[in-house]
Amino acid sequence: MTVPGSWYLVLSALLFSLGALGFFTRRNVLIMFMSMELMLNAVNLTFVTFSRMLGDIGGQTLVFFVLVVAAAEVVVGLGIIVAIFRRRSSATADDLSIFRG
Amino acid sequence: MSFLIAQVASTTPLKFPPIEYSAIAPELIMVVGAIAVLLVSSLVPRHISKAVSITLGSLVALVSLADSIYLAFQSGSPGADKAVLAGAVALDKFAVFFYVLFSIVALLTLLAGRELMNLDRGRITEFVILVLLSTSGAMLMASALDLIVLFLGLEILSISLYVLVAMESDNDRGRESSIKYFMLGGFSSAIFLYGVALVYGATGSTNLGQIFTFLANNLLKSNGVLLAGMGMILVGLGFKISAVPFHFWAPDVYQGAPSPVTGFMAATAKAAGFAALLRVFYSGFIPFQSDWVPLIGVIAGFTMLVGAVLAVVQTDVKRTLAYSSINQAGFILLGLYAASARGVGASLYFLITYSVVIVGAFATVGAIEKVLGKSGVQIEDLRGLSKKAPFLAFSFVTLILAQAGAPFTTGFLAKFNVVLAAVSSKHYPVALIAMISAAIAVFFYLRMALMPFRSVSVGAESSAEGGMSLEDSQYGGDSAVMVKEEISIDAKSKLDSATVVIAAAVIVTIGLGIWAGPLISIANRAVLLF
Repeated sequence: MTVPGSWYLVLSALLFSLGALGFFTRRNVLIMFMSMELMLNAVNLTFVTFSRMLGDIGGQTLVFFVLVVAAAEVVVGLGIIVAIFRRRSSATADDLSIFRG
Repeated sequence: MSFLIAQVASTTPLKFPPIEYSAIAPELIMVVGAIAVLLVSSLVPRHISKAVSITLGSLVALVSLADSIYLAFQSGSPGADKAVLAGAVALDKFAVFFYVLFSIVALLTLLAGRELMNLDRGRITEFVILVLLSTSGAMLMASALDLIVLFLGLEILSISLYVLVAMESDNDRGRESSIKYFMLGGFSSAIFLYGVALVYGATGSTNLGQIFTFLANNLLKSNGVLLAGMGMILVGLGFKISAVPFHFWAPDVYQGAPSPVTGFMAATAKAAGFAALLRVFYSGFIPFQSDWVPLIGVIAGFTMLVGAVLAVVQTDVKRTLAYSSINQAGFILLGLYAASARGVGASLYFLITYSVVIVGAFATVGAIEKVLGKSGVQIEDLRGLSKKAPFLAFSFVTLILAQAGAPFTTGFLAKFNVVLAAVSSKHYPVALIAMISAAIAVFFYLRMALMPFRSVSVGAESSAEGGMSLEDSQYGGDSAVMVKEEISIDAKSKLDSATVVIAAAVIVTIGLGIWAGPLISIANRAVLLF
């Protein structure tokens, strides 16, 4: 059985939307962070699918760039999250309320 | 096994594209310089490591500036503009213009940060390194001809900035704004990247030159994927330049970040975002001009209006400046909306003058915070500043008036030129919005600019309402002693590097405001995307 490329595109669009939805609806910073990673991986799936459909190897190499950048982001992001929530019991975005207006 | 070796030996050697290191020298100097600072500062004795890392870092920025200026003179000759590194990076007047701008901003930030960052001794090295690395990312964004190279530059810039914002020890506000910046920055990067993926799918390449060739030569049967991709790239970059409706992170982050970092962010990150926006849309997507130019107009209009209106109700100085910078972003977008060489030239002129002004303004705010001994200066706190710290008050007022667009500062011509470009492209409604928003903006700029000259109310609440009153003059003799004391504090801090930065920003703002010709012609020459 062959699966048409467009199915993968639809799947990745769904994953991306799910990630965006999760980012805006969840209040836990770690879950928001995971939603962001889901969005990035949806992008990777899109790149690979298009690369396959176009017969161009370029799209697959781009995935490595995205992976590396995502990893760097995780390192810095978790560092900041630990720095800010070390003295608090929970990691919810509602606690971030110094700024108003 | 022997088969495998024979296989490897028989294959022809890999061909690498030629690499013109001189074309990316400013980036390389920044990166190598950052590593050198890291090495050297860890080898020298602890008590001089602060001085060593700041001096070395400033030297690196200076060398990069010198090289950028050298490249600028090189790029004057005809045919000097070219794509290098297998078409991934451009060496043209546009890129070189931003190399010079970013090198200057990095230098000013390092000098301002030396005095104004509240860091432990060892961590000033990290500050220096992150500023240098972040600048290299911004330079890469301005010169990238490939969407993925652009993305890498964007992330090098942003990831360094996330850390810079959270760096100050015992600054919870900084950490909170850092996590907000990080979350929304990461989110916008993901959107930008999905846009890149869609454009790649629609055109078969991430190289802007090839995208342009494809779009100019092929009539797309259905361009939904391409338009979605373009829109998402616009949204992703819109976050970076804090255009409405993607601006909501900016006030929180600008307010919470340490002042020198805020100035750096407002100048470098925003200028890099605009450089990328210009490069991508004017050299890649120009065949689809009729689709994205109106969108930019709408965003420009809302950005100017929302920035000006929301700034009026603010009470915190840095927050007001954040909304002011949103308002300014709208003006820069107005030049892009004009979609003419003149408009882009006006935008570039606006960008370079705005960058100098905003770095100076935030350095001044940082120095004022230091004089007042508190972080988070309210507009009311500025009362009586002209007596406490005359130099700071004068610089603050000058840099605020420059943002308002007062004559004899660079801000006047900057605003005038973009509006003129919009009018000459017959975009009357948005030009009208621009003028209305400039008028609204004058209100909050003047409120901030007049506050240092109002006297401090001594015990009397009523004089706080009425500003100057008879009561204050009666207390004149009393407060004179206080004033004398505080002037000496101001005099003590007179010769530090932050003062040099502020003075340089003021001199450039007034000097180039009066003698404006050269800079305008430089900005106009940097436009070559047509």
